[in-house]
Amino acid sequence: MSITSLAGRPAIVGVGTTPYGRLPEYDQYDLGAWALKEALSDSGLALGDLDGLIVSRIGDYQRFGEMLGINPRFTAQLPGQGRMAGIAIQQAAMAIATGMASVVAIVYGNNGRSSHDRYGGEGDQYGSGGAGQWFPYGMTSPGALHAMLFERHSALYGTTSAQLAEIAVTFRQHASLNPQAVMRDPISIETHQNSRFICEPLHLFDYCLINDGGVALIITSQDRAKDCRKKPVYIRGVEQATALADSSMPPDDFWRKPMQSISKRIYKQADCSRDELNALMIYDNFTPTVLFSLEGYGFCPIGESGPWVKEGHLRLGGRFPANTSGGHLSESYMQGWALNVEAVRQIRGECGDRQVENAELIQYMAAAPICTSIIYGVLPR
Amino acid sequence: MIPSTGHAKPLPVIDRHNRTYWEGTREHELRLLACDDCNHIRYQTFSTCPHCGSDRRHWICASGNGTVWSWTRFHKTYFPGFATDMPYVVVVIELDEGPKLFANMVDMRVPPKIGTRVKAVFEAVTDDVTLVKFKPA
Ligand SMILES: [Zn+2]
Repeated sequence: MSITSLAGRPAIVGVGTTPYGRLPEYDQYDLGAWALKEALSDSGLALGDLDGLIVSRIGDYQRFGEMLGINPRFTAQLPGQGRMAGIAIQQAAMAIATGMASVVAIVYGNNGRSSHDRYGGEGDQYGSGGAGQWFPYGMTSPGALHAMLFERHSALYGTTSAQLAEIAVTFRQHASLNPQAVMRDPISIETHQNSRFICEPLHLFDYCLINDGGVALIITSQDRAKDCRKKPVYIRGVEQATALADSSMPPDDFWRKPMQSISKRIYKQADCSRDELNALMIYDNFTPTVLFSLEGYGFCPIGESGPWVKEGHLRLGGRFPANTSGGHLSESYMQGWALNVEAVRQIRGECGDRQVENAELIQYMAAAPICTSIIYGVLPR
Repeated sequence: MIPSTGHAKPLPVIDRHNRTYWEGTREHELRLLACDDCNHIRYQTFSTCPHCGSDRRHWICASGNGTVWSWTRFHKTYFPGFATDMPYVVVVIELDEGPKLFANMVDMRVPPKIGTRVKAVFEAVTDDVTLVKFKPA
């Protein structure tokens, strides 16, 4: 059974972001509260209007709620993993659709750069939970896992590092048009190819940028959205599928099965087709994830994502402009959260030099042991 | 984190779930858990079978034969104990019995071709710990 529409027509009515970069004066709570203040101001709502709160990567929901002085009737805390961004939005949409809450704030605070969070090695808190069993072999870090997946993809389909470079170069080009992006100097295919290896075959420019920052979104129903400052951006579809079984090892199918399962349902829920999409926001913790997502979510045939991206489809002006903010590779690794904000800002037409013309339908997608996807629309379903 | 044994690389944490596995490697056996009810074989030492949910299980001795599924070569030093091995290769091996695992080839410098047939070898790194590594079959 699949959902055909969400009751209440949940919509994003406020988005807030802090600057990204090195912000050593702020902890996760400060960054989350700052982003939330921006989101509330964007929406025209006040703290007192919130009756739902979901936090991610912020250490303790209770302390955060105490700091804000609020008593929501729906509260949840999600771990600080990127796959949780889509889940937070899904949970908020569910709370609105069921009436369990009427205005939900979802808040993310990440001081990973200043607090030297590690994604590999013995102090790793985020990258490879429970993966200590592989340390005796020197195996660690999500980057290593993605390098292995990419090497396998290369062996099966002939995908090349220069095709990955196209992704890094494209997203950097987009970042050069985004004042909020941390890395704005354009790079070339050669820059990518000549950069040092981290986990070979992945180069430095195949990796996302760890930074400090906060992101918040305010979600409410179509009805309630009428009182807000800006035009709502509707959550026309939101779906999740997982591959938790055997997930300590890289998957044979590059997470295709859960992504295909989502694709079967999400266009029905959103009442649109792939062809109608104006832009994509693709979770890009590493460049290969973009390839796996394009194949899994059905934008190109299996095994052909490398040549497909080389044709320039992901560029501004291309068929499916992607990660117009620069994404995790060049704007900042805000773990999916800022990509969802970018989708909202594109649909509102707030993106200045990087604005996609007539951006009315945008799909967010993530590939991991938990896959999530969201389709945003300027109009409700 | 350098243990007094003189082995500078990280060591496995041996607990009640995996003790039999590590006793096996000392005897040059690659032991895996098999489900009594559905025969599913797992590398992870979970108490229940991920295939059928049964907690009835026994240890088998795997053939040690497998295939290189993929590899990566580390150019960033995450572990001080590997500093003198840089850059080193970690492989994913798909065992003939089904499960995959991460490991090293005996020669950690050169990435093997994906699809290479391999055979387990056992390398004692301390009195208590023997690691499973692989060499071309
Ligand atoms: Zn079983």
